[in-house]
Amino acid sequence: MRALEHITALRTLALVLLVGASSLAGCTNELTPPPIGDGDDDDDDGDDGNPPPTPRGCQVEPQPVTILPRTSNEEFRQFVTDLLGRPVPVERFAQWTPLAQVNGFDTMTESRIDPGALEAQLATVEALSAELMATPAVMEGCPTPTDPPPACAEHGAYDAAAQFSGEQGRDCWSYLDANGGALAYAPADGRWFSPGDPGMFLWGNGLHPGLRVDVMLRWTAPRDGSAAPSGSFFDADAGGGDGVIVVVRGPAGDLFRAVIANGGAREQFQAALPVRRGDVVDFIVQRVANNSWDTTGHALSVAFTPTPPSGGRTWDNCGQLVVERVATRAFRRPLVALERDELRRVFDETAAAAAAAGIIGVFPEALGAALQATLLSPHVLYKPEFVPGGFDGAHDQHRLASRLALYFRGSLPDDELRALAEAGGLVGDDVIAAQAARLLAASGDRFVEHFGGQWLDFRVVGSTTAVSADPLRVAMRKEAHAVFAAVLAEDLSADRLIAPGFTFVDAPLATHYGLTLDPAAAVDAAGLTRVATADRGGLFTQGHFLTSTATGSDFKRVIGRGLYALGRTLCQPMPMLDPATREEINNSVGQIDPAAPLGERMQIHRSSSDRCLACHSQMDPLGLALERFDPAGLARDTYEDGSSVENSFLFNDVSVRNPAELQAWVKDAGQYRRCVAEKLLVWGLHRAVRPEERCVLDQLAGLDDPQAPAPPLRATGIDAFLTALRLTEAP
Amino acid sequence: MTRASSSSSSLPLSRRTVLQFMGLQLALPLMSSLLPTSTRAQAAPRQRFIGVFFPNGAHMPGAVDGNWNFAEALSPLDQAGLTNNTMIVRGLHNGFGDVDPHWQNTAGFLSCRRVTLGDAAVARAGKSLDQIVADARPTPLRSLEVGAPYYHVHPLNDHPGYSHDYLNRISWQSDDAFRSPIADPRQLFAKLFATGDGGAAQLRYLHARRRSVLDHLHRDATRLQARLPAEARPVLSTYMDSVRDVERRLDGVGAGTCTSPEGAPAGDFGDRDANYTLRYQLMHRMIALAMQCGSVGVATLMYGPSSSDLSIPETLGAGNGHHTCAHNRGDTGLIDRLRRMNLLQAGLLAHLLGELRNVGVLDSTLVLYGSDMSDGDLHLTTNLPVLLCGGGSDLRFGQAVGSADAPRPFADLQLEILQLLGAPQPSWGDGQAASTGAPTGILV
Repeated sequence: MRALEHITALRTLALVLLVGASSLAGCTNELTPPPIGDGDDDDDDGDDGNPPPTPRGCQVEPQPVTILPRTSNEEFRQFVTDLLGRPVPVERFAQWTPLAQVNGFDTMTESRIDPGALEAQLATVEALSAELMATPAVMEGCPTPTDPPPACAEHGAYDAAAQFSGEQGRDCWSYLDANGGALAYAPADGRWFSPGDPGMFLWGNGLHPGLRVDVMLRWTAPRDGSAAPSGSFFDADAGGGDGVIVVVRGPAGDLFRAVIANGGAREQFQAALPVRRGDVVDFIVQRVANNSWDTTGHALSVAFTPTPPSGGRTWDNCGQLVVERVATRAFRRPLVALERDELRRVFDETAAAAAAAGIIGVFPEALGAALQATLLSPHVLYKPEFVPGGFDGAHDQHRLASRLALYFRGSLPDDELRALAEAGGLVGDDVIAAQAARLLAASGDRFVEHFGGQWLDFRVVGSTTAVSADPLRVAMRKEAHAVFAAVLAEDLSADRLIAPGFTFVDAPLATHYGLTLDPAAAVDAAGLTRVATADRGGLFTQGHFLTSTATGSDFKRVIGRGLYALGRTLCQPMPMLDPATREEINNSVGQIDPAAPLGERMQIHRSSSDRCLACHSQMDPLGLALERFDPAGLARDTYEDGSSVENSFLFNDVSVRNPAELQAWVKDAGQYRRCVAEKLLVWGLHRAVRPEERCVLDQLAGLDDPQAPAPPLRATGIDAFLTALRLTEAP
Repeated sequence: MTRASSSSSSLPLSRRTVLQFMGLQLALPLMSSLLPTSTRAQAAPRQRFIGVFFPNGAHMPGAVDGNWNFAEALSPLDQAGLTNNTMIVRGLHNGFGDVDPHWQNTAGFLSCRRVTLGDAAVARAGKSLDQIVADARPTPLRSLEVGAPYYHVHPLNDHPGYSHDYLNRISWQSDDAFRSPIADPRQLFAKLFATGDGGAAQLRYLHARRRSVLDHLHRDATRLQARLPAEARPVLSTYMDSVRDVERRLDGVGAGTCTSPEGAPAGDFGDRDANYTLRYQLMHRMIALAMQCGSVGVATLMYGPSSSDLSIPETLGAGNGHHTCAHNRGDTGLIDRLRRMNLLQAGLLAHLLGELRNVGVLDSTLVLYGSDMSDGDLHLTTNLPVLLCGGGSDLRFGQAVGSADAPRPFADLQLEILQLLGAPQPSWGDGQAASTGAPTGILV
């Protein structure tokens, strides 16, 4: 019994939260939601604590977020991108545990961090801390390191054959006998030789030991760092002889040793070792008993990663400056004294451990540890600014700045916003709105990608539909992104997302759509060209929507497109199937002739029972309207058998027989405008909209004033942010 | 052949290296597999547990037995000579009628506990069997979790108030904290075998540095937690537990850490369908080695998240995904593909058991193989497809026990498994999914 109550309550909750009151007018009683906000409206007479008014008089008590929301992996990636001042590739986070999407977004789950997830995060920030220390802007203010200049030319990768030369020490390669004596170079032969030992030679990709002394190729470390020698040796003259011994030797001894018999197999090696400036790695070919037939080929390389120069740098003259700079930004607020002390403790502990172990580069190790502690802090991995008490009261301005930045750029406050918060100037809706508009303009496509991309599923990261590498499918995702970006940037209203009057295509996509592309037209950074058209570009006519929702059978395509349209554009997800409905569906197996025309089959689904009709009356008309497009998103008038793709199903008494009718209705529908407002509000709330808060959606969508034109999408977003603040900030 | 090793998991290695890694099994001791399992008088003390989940059910129309027998769906086990290490357990049910079984019986696969619904931002199932065993039988690594890439739920399959984590996690360290599976064999390799560059002193230093960072994080979280309202605190408790868990891992290095048998595996494992079979073969091999060397005694594997449309084209050819095939509505083409998927996954299980046998730990391990449903088309959760695998003459390996006509909760079997592994519980599961305490007949 309790279970039944639970599911009834759940379904009611879902409908109350997510369905407009008028939208299900044609539904059966079972699924008709109770009146919106029933019982609550009467209470809002202002006599219980004077809740702050939301715009234009819809009064609702604020309700802070109750969970501690996780910083999404994408938000973290943007944090680091901002700290480094350059984009961090998505691949760096491939092993991070993905976050569940809630209300369509991955930014509002509490998603626990399990040990495996933390290990992956630790590995990533260990690499990122080194990148931070190699970034001049991060290290600004620190004294110039007093390290000596490189011992030889510094490269990230050394290749013995490619860098072979007739000059000792060039590119850190030296050409020696095994006792360390220098060889002489014969330009005409292009090889090194020993004047005193006529059998000894050394050339670009080979070595031959002498009669008396063996031969050696030497690599010298240009600076302190880590070296990773790798490669292979092989017998390059299998005509005879007693083979050779090949050795790779580092400062602490042999890294590799092998015997290659005459005609023996190639010997491969790889190693890694810390090196100080001037340390050497020697590649030696030794005779066994004699040097006959000892020509030995090789492919030798050394990858080199320098330890950041840090001579003369200390906590006092550099470390604290860098940690303060990074932590203040990453925490999105000033540090408190205890936090400074604690991060210094990590620095000191690590410096002591590194010094005791004889580690090369004590300062970068210690600073790196303090930066790792900063980046993995719960203040970074979670967003306490959404929870009461998460930020100190003294940091209210920074809390506000952070919420602004998370909303409009999915990242940290930029310099101007941070400075404004620091100066206490982030006061009043006008100032906040001006900053919001500035962030939207200054942050490239971040809002488009993170908000729009998740709402409409064109973002690749965390996409709910299959991500294809097919260039046409890639172009389709880019098209969806570009249309959203244009509507936002050009201050158009949300109805233009449905019917923009233009779209963006590359040449193959233009051909796919049957659009003519002016070869002289400008091409944007994504490789797309803007084309004026009434037939494409809208949410229901974009290739990405049409293809990604059309999977499986024709029945599934109709349902898929219908459900997607309902959930994403009308905020009307269908309730989950209860056991009785599922049983009814199960009993219907085999009852419908799969060879019957699609429209007929859908009619049977609708007419089976009121229970079936409740959902099919909503899903089917939208999906069927889009049958004008085949699974590849191509326009068509008839099916392969010649029958028409049009049908006469009504959606809540509205005729939506084809995409044009569907678009014409949706673009001006209150339910659609309210849904856009809801998505924008939820993005800021970090929780679902409560029933008593639904009155604000009409205001955000401009539906409370029938005379007013629909507000631009950008303005609705800014308005939604301000409203989200009021609805979640304790008075 | 490759000699000296480097631990960097990002080194680009060839497919040849992967094959070398795979080929190693030939060189490992085969003594255990040479002993006829059935002649052993009694069970070796059972120390290890592996839970293996496959999604969307088997081809069992109407939840009758269908082809769930050694001759058909389980023929790969028979072909691998593993029939006498496998028991079919029939008649088990799991889940609750009012919760979608894709979600309930994945998150509750190993707990038979009801998942919490209503706020998709939180995920609460119940502590799972594998983690109870991990508590009872501590090892340097608590447990290993392996799976496919995360399934971000398609709107067609989504439900308001259901956490997407439920479709993606079977291992729960506590009621509110899952353990997320590793999807990339390279990541598992690094976790198990990477030792770090340099010598012992350098390794000691590295651990000291990490311990300093982790200690700081624990103190930091403690302070933040004290500031927050009660509802927001548990998430930081989990974070702090994870910090301590990773620290303990550092402490345990050197005691039971496996040595690297070969170079790291390579390949494209980012896409859920890419290298599907190879992904799990590599994982099986590593789990077996980790168990052999004593660094871990508990693991869970997911051969795919529930509801997802894994299609495995490289083996099965282009075609419909797993979930679509499960909802076949009697379509013979879809049914055929579903059966081939079931066969492929039974083949994976045979590979896992073979790896365990090769390293001599099969007899001391219990492997529980099962799904969220029986008939995935009708979402039926009775007579689930369940196998119990291992060795020892005290259990009815090589037989089918139970019957679809005598339904009993899956929790009864799990309670017995806990008993066999020395981690007895007074009862197991919630409500209609709870154990009755009656024996399931797996014992001789």
